[in-house]
Amino acid sequence: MANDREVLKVVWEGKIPAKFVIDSNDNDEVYYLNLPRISYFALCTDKVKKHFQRHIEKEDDIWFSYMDVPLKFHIPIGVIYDLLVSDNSLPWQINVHFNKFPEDILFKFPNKDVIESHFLSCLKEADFLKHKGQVICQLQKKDHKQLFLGLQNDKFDQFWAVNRRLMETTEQENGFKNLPLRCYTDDGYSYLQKLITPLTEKGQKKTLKDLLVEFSTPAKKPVGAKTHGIEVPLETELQWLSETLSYPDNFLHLCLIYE
Amino acid sequence: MTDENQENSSLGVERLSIQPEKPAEIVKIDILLNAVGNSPIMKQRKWTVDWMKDISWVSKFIHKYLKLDSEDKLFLYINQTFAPSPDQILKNLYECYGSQNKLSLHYSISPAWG
Amino acid sequence: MTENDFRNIILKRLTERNVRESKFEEMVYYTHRMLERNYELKSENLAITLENEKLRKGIDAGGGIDLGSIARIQSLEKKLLEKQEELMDLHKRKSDHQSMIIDLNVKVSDLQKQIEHKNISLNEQQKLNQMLKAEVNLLTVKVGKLEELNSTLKDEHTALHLLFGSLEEKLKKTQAENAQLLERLMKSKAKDAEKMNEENETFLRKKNDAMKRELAEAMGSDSNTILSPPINEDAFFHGCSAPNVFFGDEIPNKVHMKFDSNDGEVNAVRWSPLMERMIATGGADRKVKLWDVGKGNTYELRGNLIGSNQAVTSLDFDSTGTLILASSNDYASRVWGINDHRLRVSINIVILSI
Repeated sequence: MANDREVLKVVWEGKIPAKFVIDSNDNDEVYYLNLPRISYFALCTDKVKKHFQRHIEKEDDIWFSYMDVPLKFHIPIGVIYDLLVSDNSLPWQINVHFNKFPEDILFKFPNKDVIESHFLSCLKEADFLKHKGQVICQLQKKDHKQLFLGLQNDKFDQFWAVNRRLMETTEQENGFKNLPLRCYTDDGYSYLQKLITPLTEKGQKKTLKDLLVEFSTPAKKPVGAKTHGIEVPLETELQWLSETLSYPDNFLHLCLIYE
Repeated sequence: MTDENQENSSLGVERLSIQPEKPAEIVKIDILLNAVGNSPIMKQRKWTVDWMKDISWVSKFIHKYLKLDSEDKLFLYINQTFAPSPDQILKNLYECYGSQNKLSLHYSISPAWG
Repeated sequence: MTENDFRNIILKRLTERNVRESKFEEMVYYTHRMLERNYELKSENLAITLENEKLRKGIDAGGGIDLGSIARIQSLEKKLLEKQEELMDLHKRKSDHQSMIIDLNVKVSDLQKQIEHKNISLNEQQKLNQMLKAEVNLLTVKVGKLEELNSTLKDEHTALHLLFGSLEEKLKKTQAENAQLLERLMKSKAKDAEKMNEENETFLRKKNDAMKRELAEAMGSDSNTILSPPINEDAFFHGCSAPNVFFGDEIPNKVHMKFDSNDGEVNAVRWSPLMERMIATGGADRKVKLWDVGKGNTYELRGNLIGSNQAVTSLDFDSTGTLILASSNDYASRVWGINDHRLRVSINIVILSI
């Protein structure tokens, strides 16, 4: 059970201060914003858009980049930051663009419904891996709405009221069937995903160390993993990790650290 | 071993690349494309594809094959349960949801499972 | 490492991260506030400059510009703005108040309706109450009457009971007296009877003595005719009715009365055991005749009993004197009722050959 409310709350409250800069001669074109680590650019940037559209009259879709890398709208903000900003500099300087939308790299999310259905698809995939999809199909449409609105409006209790059911295991099961996780390599946005169980064949609880072994190739061996901006101790149990440090889409997003 | 080296060298490219370059050795899997509901059925449903391709590529491929308009939407599903992210690569999907070199997908012109 | 260890490490790192990353939080919020204020002021500024332009155009059209009047105009413009704002505020308040008034009116009408309803139901309840009270009164009156009746009946009952008791006692007393009187009566009657017996004894004794003397005299004479001594029928009858009387032997020597009772031979005669002076005669005329032989020498035909087919040979009364039995030469015996003279039974005895 994800009943470590203290840790869950601290995770939820993470915010990255960002400095949105638009390419222009006017020095006023700077906008500061605290971005929630667990949210998505598609959900948080209405104010940015509104601010910059006062000055730029273009009607094109807005998009963001950091150091010339376009920022994806559908990956949690914290993951993008941990992946791209290697020196942890703050505030995070993000460039705002209104033209030449990179359609081959970024996917458009014109309204909230599109990002909501993407979010729910992630939940369904995660539940499929954890419970063969049996928990999420017991939830009603209003529960789905509650999850998304809780995320969108920064309502921790509203969100976790429903999410704790997705983090439950019965007494017969000793943890989830498989763990929903994505391991980002040091190669941009690419990530690996495979079936990972929380227990070894002998029934012992796996730790992060075991996971790193499973994601090793003969050429590259990760020595650590980072998520939510912190390095995770190697002894951390994977079941606990999945229950407590997953993002709201119920996936663990781990940035692998190589030597 | 050489193959893997080549693969890794292609993966260890610019830190800020968006999609990995094709490795020298291409791993291919079979994907099965099943129609859902009123969607037009493809004559050829089984395709052997480089597993580093992503879902958006598959979507465009089906679009072209079925000669759909650019306005028409296409929805793809795995295990008839969830829609994978457009940038998800087939390799990851196969590792999790496929077997015996095959991965089954369902496509629909209207939302089927959300 | 136990669960707590790695968990604590993670928690510590996360809190450090939050501390690091939230250093800018305050400033970001502050910048937002500044920006908003900036926008507000810009828009205000814009509005004011536009108005200014309008006024300026107005003044230009009107003629010469006076610096002082410009200042006045500007101050008037300011006042105007203020007044417009006040006006808007007041309009707002007015509309609020109006909506409140409407709400309150609706509420008042609702409450009035409710009050009416309540009044109506109250009236009904009062009427009902009065009706019930009247009923209650009637019923209490009835109850009072019934109670009176009940008490009177009870009194009567006790009175009757007492009466009954006293009457019972009286009855017992009279019964006792009656018993006593009966005893006395019996005793006196017994005495009477004894006396009578004694008298009869002496009388008979005297008679016997007299008869003995007469017999002795008669023995002296040679007559063989049977003499019937004078029969004192009264004494006979009288003597018959008294208990404990015995009949002395007497030979009749004189005929008291003679009459033709039947046409032909008279075969049987009988006295009635019940009725005084009644005799029955049966003879060859096939009839049984009932006679009433009165005092002295009177005789009267009482009845004719017919039915026999041949001469009547013998007669007998039954013990009660209501029936008479006669045998006849026609091999039959018959029974008649005395009072109704009706043939009751006819008994034919047929003797078969032996």
